[in-house]
Amino acid sequence: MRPREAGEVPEGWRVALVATAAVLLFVAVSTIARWDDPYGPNDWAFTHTFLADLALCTGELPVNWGLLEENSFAGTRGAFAEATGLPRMTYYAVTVWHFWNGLPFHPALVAAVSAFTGLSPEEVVRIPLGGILAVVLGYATASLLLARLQGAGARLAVAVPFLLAVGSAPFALDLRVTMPSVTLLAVLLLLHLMLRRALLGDRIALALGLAPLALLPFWYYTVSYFTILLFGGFLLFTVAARLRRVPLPTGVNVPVAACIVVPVFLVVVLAHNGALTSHLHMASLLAADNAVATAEAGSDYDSHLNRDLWRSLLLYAALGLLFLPLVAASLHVGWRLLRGEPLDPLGVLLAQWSLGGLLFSGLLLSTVGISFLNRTAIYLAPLAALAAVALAAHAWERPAVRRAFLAGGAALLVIAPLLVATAAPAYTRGDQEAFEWMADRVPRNATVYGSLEAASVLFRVHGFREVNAFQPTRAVLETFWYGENPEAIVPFLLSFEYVVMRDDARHTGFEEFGPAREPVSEAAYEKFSKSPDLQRLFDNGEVQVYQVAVKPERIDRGPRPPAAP
Amino acid sequence: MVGRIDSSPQRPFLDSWASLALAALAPVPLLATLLLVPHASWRVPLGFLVLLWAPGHVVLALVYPLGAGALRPLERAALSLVLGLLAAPVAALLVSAAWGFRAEALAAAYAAALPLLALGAASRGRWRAAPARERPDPTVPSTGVAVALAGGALVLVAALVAVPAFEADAAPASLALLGADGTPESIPREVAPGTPVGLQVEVTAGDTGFSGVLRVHVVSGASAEAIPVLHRELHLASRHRETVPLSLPLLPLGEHQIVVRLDGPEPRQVHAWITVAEEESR
Repeated sequence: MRPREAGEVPEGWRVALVATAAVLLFVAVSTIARWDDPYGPNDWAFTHTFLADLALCTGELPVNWGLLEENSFAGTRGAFAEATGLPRMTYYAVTVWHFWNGLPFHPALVAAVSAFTGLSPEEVVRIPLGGILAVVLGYATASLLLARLQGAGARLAVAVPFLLAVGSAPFALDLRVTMPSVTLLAVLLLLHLMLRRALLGDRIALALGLAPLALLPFWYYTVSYFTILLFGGFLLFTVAARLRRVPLPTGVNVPVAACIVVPVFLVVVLAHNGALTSHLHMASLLAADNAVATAEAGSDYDSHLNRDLWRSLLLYAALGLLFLPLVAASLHVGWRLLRGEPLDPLGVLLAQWSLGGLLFSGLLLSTVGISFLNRTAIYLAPLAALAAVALAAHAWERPAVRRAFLAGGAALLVIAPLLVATAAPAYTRGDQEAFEWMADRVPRNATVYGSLEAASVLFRVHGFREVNAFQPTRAVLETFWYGENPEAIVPFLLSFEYVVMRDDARHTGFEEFGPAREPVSEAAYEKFSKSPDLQRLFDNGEVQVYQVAVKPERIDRGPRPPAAP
Repeated sequence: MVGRIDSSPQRPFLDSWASLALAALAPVPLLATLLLVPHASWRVPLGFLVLLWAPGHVVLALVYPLGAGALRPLERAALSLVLGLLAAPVAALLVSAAWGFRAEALAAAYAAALPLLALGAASRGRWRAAPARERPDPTVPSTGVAVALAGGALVLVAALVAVPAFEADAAPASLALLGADGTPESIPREVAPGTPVGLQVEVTAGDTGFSGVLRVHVVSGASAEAIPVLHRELHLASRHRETVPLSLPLLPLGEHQIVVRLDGPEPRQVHAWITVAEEESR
């Protein structure tokens, strides 16, 4: 080890101590009050948990190999459904969502961790693995970035893992879920290696950073699309620099060929495996007038983190604190670019990534109405933390900078845990009693509908294998959830035998098509109890269980929604 | 390759040949554990070590040779973990396709592949470490700062863990309506005139017990008249369940709603719709 001053423990131990503390803090924040909660962070992942369980039991990882030959989830799912023993392709495993049969890497990872460690797949998906590694990698990236500085400014690298642990509630919430978090690591790896290339002239780094991106189309689609737009941002920035005749610092600009080849490769693979077709279909369903994500329906984190005024204030204050340095640095670079002035490597890198994030936000907002809160603020949070620390480090000698940085850090330390702790749906004793009653009295092969958080628990904990979802359409939200007319819901009831309603739907919201939605009105909630097509069998004040009893003569009333396959 | 393994204390462990040997051979004890003592507690850390760190460390040693000072220990550790994680599902799918998905097969594949990759990495590495830098890493905090940061973080972790993981709310009272045999499936939806209809009502007290009145009415569609069927005071101890059999009066032709209410501090209501119709109209 390197020489050290008297009384100092070795550098390696100090680094390990700080990294371990930051990791523990991230785990504590991201799983706060939810570690044993059935409404855990893995509600999206439960079908993959099922696949991993199946792999451990049968000795074969179910994979829809047919997708290699045919560009159609619907056309290739037969053999796959047979292999899983779930002929109805339960719940979110519909062709539109295709989490089920088009993403083999996530269940494979869960199964592999489970096989080696002996933990159950359910336990594995509750470990915020990707987030933990993102914290460690963020520390390494900050250390790489600030190593050229001397004095207290350089030591500010230790702030990055802590900023990642507690700096952003959306980041903590997303990175506790395995599928998005582990795939985001591929992007953060690219960021680190691009910095190596820019700062150290590492010529291998870019190739090493690009290789893992090839896995994304079979792992998690959203990060794939983010990567496509990220490289679009790189290309746009390079073109702008050439148009303004501003030379980019050596090693910073991604070669134009890579800016084109990477997105084209990802688009071709996503088109070939059917995901792009499927997503375009979904976007067309949603894009009538951005219905599913309109404000009254709630979108992304609007009701998850942002449903009260105090939440909104805290959320935007925290995001502002974290992202202000990145935005300022990017605008500064843009201004210098417009004026044809020379650019520094770090500034270019920050501006390139910001531009990519901006493009991605624009795409999501214009197609499915998801705001920057849901994705861009998550994916760029590590970059924002790096930018904040880098800018502060360069001016650390100034007392005002030090005070502002420490005050901002202290504020984030309070805000993120508070927002995370109160964001997710709370699993109450009422939920537990109701679901246990269902497990005792309702046949396990019954077709059940519930919002995502309820259906997930019924599937994972109580063995209801036929919890199905609607295809995402405007009518599902407007008529079934927010509508007040019991007659109008008849077409929606035909696909199910039982409907589970949580009282939280009218207080804190519900999850449908993924994002948490804003609460429904009392009248909207009451239509279920007024409907002559529903027998209300169970009521404990927090959960109501209905049995569908639509009479044949009522079936033809109203338009029938697209049926989940 | 000339020379011998450099055991100089100047070399960080993660930049040493010992770390490469550890990464290359780590799957062997895991394989032995899986075969001999699969329920051993050390399988958890060993499994994570083999799956996440070992393959990434070996692959990274191929790209950035050990001993060259190309990567600092923190960077090498972080990149190893990320690469290992990204490689894990690829390896799992390949092994599953070739030999079926079994922990032993996957561990055997790692046990075979990692030493080969490590040999390749060894051929690229430097047997003698690059000279250590004269000055310490400027980004590493002093011991005092590191301890203070870690201590503060751990205090916060303790506070967050203390937040009850399962909200200590009380179980509420519940009311359920079932068919005569105790299942929802046996609730009749349509019956012929003159058919007796039997149901069950199930009341379960919450954690604080229950005192109130159980009322059952039949509301007929045409007249909207509510005919009382049952009125019973209930006093149930905490978590106590009472099942009340219901024999409905003979229902006339038409649609009827059977309404069951639990009146008390926590009102509840369930209901069922039953149609009485002639055989040919059903």
